[in-house]
Amino acid sequence: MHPRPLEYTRADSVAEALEALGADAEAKVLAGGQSLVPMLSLGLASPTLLVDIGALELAGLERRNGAVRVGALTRHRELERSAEVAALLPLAAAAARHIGNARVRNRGTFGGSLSHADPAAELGAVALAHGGTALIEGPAGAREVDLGAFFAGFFETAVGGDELLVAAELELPPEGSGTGFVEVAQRADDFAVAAAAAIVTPDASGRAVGSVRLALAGVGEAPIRCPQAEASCVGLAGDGELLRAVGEAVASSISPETDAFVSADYRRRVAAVCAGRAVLAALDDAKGRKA
Amino acid sequence: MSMEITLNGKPARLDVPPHWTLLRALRDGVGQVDVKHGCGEGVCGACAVLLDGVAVNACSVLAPQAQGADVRTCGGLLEDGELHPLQDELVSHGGVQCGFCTPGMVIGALEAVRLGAAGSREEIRHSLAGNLCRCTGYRKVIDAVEAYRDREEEARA
Repeated sequence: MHPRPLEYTRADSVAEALEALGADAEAKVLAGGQSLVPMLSLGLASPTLLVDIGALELAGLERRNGAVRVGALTRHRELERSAEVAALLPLAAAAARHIGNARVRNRGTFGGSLSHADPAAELGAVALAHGGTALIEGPAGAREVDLGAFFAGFFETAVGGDELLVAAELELPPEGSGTGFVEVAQRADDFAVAAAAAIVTPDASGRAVGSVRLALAGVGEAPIRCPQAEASCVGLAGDGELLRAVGEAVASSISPETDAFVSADYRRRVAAVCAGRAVLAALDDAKGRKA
Repeated sequence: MSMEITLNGKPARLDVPPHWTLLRALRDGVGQVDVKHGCGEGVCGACAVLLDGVAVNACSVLAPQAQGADVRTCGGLLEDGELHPLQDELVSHGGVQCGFCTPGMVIGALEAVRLGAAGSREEIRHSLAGNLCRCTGYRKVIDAVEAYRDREEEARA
């Protein structure tokens, strides 16, 4: 199958991109194209105009007090392989390995993943686990959206049709925190049945969970945070009780759907296991950093 | 639209509409049929090419995104009609059978070895995930990639 006819323009500046997007209500932004081009080929999207932002200088990481600004065109492969990312955003690095395959990660972008808002998107869960701000440019200028309010539903975000996500600032957790990312998919490079991203800050003893931020992919209309599970394990240190508490909280608070591949019940159970293991891995990671 | 690329070291002009993928432009536009059309949705890896030295699925790149780029296909790795050492190892290890996945495997494995992402069999598996082969069972492909990696390391030592 091949994409249907459409118009194409390459933007040389954010302003040019916004102008092109504003002029055509059926225009779409083309970044890495790793979701969009296959969707065009499958007939799942039919924009009249593609605005290619690949030439814009929107890639790279920048540390700003207490947060890391990740440019929209930062590629997954960069997140997966760069030593800087491993040091600053180890959760993003761990999650990026699970995205598509190496060829997909070579092209796919951080901003593209957030904007596309696939329910199973690993980086969406990472963004929610960190928290922070989405930086959006539009016809009325720049605006900021809390990442907690970024995902608005099934493949829907806070970014308007005439706007462009240029970066997201991910908040850094307190010193001494650890991270864990666990995903289950049916094939090595397939979409997640469920995935969990956790950041754990140990309590004063250094052995038990002090606070946790937990986000899940694959189990809702979009990546979601799971406050019930976050609250369920504060003060716990033992592997068994921690896995049980998080797992039960996740299972009772999410509403996954049955699809062509797995049942809702299976997805719920897998999510519960992923979440428990991610929190445990994050706690172990934090202990390891202390040791 | 008309665009220029460097294809296997030579200048090439692509006169293709903007909705064509790079895969379609290479195959139907300039007859570069060693790039295979498998799934067409970025899953099987049969259409992998090096785009400015980076392995990509040509089905998931829109042709105009490749404007001005250097495109290298599996067939463009031969020198004076001689197989590239990686291609040679695939042949001698029986890592080819029907051959449909082979051009993509070669591109994927070449990048993996270049990036140092082929240090172990497990790493090779991770690097080649998304290059689907229905014949070989992968074992012989991985044997061949290991042999090529070792050959490269010896050459550098």
